[in-house]
Amino acid sequence: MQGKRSRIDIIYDMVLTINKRGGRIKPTHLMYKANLSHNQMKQYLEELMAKGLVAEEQAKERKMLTITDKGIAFINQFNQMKEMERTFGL
Amino acid sequence: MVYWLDFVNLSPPGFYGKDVAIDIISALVVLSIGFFSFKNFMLDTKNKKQLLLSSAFLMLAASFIVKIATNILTHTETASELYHLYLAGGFLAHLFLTLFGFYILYALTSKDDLTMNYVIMAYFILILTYFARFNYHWFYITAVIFLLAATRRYILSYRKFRYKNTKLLAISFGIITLSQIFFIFTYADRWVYVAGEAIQLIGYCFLLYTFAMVLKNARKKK
Repeated sequence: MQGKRSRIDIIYDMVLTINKRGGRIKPTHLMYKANLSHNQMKQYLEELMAKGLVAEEQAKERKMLTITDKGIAFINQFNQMKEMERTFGL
Repeated sequence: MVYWLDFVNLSPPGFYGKDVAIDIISALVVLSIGFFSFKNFMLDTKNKKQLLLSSAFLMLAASFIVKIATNILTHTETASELYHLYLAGGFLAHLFLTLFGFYILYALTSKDDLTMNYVIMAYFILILTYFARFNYHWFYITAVIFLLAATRRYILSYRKFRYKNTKLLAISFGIITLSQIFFIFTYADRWVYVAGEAIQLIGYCFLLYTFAMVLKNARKKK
């Protein structure tokens, strides 16, 4: 069984979910896919947008979330960090 | 040779320059891994293990840089007092940084929080460094013990998780351990030092290959 996700794990799950959906997702879909409560979603989304990992855009009167280049770079670096930890048995 | 230092200039004259080149390559390998781990730590500043991993590799890089500078100096000998002081300081810094770097690599795979152990070990390594200046064997024997302990941990981790990169890591550190065993016997024949340096180069090249595999696997995960 997986343990409790850390802050960085949740951020990774959110950014990865957007990336897997072709780089665009509805906020409600992201909330369900990333297993977050409404409050958590709001809090983390603010952080992701402040850090420039995710951007918000208006498409046909619907709010959509898109991944930025910085978000893609974050996924790459996170994967490298996890690979390093796995290799060294950390 | 500095009168109170047992192991300045172990390299045979025919090997001058080549030893520095080998150490530069080794330094670049550990420096790259150190910077990479530090970048990972900056991504998640609560991740203490990444900080320790980067500290270990950056210490090893610093130890190589000090060794390179000191070796270059020994190859161009002068009689000034400052020269002897720099040699002594350089080699003692090299010993301390190498041993503490190897110890961190071993200790960071432990599941327990060993914060106080690092302080205690730093103290013991400092004492050992002081005594190793009279007899260089103690430095290499201690390095072999730390490296064997780290390699054993990587082997156990590989047996448990069957992760290929951990196997490569265990091989890299196994080869580096072998190089330190050769260094113990340097006084039997100076060319044993050359063999040790050559094995060390293979070990660090293998470590570079392991690091490249880590990056390759991470890219596949997209």
